[in-house]
Amino acid sequence: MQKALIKRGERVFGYIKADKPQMRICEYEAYRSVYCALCRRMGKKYGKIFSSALNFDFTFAAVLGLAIADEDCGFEKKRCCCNPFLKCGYCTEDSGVLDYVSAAAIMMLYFKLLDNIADSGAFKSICYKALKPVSGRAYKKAAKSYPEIAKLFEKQIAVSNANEQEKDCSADKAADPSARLLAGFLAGLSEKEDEKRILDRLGYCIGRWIYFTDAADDFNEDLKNNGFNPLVLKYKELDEKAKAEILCTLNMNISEAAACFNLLDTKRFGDIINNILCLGMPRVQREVLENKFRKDEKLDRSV
Amino acid sequence: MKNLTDPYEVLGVPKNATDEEIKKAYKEIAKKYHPDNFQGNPLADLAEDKMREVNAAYDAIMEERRDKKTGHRGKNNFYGGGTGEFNDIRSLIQMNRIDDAQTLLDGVPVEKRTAEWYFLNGTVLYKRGWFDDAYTSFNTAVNMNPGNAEYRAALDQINRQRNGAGYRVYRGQSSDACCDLCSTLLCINMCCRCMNP
Repeated sequence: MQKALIKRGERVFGYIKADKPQMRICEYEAYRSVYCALCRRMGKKYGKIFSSALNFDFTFAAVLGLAIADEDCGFEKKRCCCNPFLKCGYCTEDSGVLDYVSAAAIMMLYFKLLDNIADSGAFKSICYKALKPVSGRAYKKAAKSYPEIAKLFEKQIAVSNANEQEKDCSADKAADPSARLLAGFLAGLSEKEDEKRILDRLGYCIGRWIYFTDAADDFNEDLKNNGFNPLVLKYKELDEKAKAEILCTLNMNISEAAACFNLLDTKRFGDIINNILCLGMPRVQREVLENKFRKDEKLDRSV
Repeated sequence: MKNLTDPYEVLGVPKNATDEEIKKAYKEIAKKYHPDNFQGNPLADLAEDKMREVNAAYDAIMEERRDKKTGHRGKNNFYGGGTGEFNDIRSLIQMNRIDDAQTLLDGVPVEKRTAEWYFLNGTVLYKRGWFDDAYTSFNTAVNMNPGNAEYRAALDQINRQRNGAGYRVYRGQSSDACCDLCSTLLCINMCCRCMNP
């Protein structure tokens, strides 16, 4: 399932969304300004083309990091870095959360590219290879600033690859590397021991949730192409009974994640994260199981 | 930053809140940290700390207001039961040393795996975050010994979570209340139109 983890990385890390209709306008603006600030930070640090590596899951990580940061963050209005005719709100902060999250997003992009090169046909593979030096340079820069995260990603992706070779890998075992990857990444958002423990468990549950949501999303495709998918191994076909079982598996992760989140003392943005955990993620899993999920949804600019 | 020495801030209520409001706030927070939600969770100790803090704040306010109701809640003693056969594993689990506990559990030969073994195995898997396998293991424990309250409680907890109980509460509002309000307004609107055509 490394495919799920990296190959379609944009999608894989694009499941954790807020439920916009249920948000307060001020919450949505704050959420959006974190997204825009992250996009700008990535563009500035690693080059403009890397802004495209950003997605909702990294935005969630940034919001979570800012929610528990000791320093307050401010907001400013500036011209959008992708569209010069627009003005966006930007979240300003110096606590290092945005740098940390953007470095992780860059690393994820690089691993995704490596996987693409290995997996696609001759022509596509050449296109991906052309991108490798640029992406590799950015990866090195990111890995130099956060070596422990680079090490974690490398290790868990290797474990994930090994799991994929096993033909009778249990669902829990298959999900473990992705879950650990996110657990370690989120735990890095705090320096405090108790908070680290909470973030680790929270990350584990969310990583598992992403993994299984993606596996459910790709069920029919993997069934057809004989791709590795633990849910295909377990259920054989996606009938109503399997869907009900998968829903339980997914629910379990959100329930546990929500319980863990309740233990965190958020200094801001608590309601945004609550919205994501209690409304956004349940909505996404429902849409995925009903085959209504839109993978390429962009950030809506209107309020 | 929350000032944790001020009981009113712990409960998130203003100083002039009524007893009723304080009780409501307390109940809401206590629900979040209740041991039932953290059974088998490696963060249970943190939840307990929070619960203690909230209890202390509530008691302090009530005492200050010379109200004798304390609303103290009993703690669930998760690791109380058992036959003593797996006591070493139980104590490892309690110390959160789940890898060691798993090693000991794996060492028990298949024919000696009792209901308690499956329960403890489920507990370890749960702590590890392997919820599907934990669920299967708890199910086996309950099937082998349906009368045991400890196993049953663990299975009930995981069943609640699998049904999404953990995220049903959002901002302390239930969606029914919203719909009630909407439908009431709709009815009033229709009635008004009938009366003033």
